[in-house]
Amino acid sequence: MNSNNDNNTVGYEEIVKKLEKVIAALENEGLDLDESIKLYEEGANLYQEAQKLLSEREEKALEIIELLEKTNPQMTIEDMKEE
Amino acid sequence: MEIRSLSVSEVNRYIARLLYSDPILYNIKVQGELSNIRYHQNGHVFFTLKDDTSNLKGMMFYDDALMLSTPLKEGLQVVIKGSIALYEKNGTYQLRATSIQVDGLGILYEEFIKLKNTLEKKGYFNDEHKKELPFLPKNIGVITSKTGAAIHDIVSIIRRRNPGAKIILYPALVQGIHGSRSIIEGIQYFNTAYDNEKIDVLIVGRGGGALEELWAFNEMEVVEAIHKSTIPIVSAVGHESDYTLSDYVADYRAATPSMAAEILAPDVNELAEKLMLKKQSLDYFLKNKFHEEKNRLDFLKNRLIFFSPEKVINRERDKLSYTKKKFIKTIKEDLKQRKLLQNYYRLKIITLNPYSILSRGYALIENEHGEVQTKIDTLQIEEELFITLRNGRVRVKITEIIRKER
Repeated sequence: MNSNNDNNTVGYEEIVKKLEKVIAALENEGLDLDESIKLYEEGANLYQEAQKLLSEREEKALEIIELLEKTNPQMTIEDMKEE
Repeated sequence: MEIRSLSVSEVNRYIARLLYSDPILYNIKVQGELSNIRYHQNGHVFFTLKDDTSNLKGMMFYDDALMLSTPLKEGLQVVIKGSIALYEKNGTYQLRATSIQVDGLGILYEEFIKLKNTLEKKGYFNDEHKKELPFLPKNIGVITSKTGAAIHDIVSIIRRRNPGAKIILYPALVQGIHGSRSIIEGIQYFNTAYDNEKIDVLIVGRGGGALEELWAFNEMEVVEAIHKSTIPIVSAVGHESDYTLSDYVADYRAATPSMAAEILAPDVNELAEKLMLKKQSLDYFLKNKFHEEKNRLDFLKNRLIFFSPEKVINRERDKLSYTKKKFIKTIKEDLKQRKLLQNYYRLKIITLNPYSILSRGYALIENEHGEVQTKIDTLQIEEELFITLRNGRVRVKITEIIRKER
């Protein structure tokens, strides 16, 4: 999950790390108004991107869980017995 | 009286009849040491039975040999049941054995130990040769007797625990002189001939029995066949306490055939339950992970929002208005200070104004040049002075100067 660069797994973590950096910069450096608004904009974009990726991942995970739910192990045994 | 001459075959047939009708020779037990054992291609077994001083030729027919529970070994002390009969073709008599019983197992055990040591030295039992048993095998080959308890136990256990597994039996003789041959053929059959569906694992074994009954599993050829098998083999011979060379060389030794079945057929219901638990913890882990990530993002969002332009501008505005208030306050303070100072000066000026003294009865004296006079020293008689009082001035002339006594 760390630094895969294929389309689907790009950097949720990377984006969150960037966001953390932006926020740290906002918090720690005595920025003037213009600079801080510019950084804020960057942070807001990163936040939205992270939020979007997280939702996508969650949707996918829930799909997988649902799929697992359907393969009931008890059923499999019955199937086997009928063979 | 002249004796009629007989043909050779007539003599042999006569002797054969004599032997046959003898109550002792017809049904006899002979004790001795086996030697010179030969297996004829038609399945009959030939041997010589001997004691310290004498030899007796013997043989066993194929059908009887099949029923042998004991392996025939050179030097083995045996008791042979059978009859003495004539082999008419050669005119020799022989012991026709119907059963052979081992008299003392010392020699078998000795051979077992010798073979075991040899194989151990050759590395046959080393772990590097042990193949891993498949987990949940689908096709299980079994080499054992088709009538023994072993196959019954194996089938019932596997059916119960993993109904999906397929059991293929190679019916083998598991004892006697043909036992080893039969077991080897079984192993080869599954390894080569049986190719329409892959066999995942083999069980080679039989139920419990006396040492000589388990002997087939100690034969060098059987050990070789197990060693060479590409299919993993579970050896399951006899009871817990029975150890054979097959057990040592096999990939896994099961104490009994039932144990072999249990090892190869994990209880599917149990597995399903375990799997369920795993799935649940997986679900939990996934959901928890997302929960965590959401919290993390929320926290970041709150920190970020603190710097939203709206908030930053509000804060700047607050700062400005604070500065304004402070400025106003400073100015006010300054004014107040100035007023106080002014007042002070006013009072001071009031007190220092010489004219104000006049109203209290004091007077101001000037000479004609307007110079204020405070001492008598420079004054002279007849000099004119001006005296200023509260509401006007008077002009006077000095008539006397009176010096103040010390």
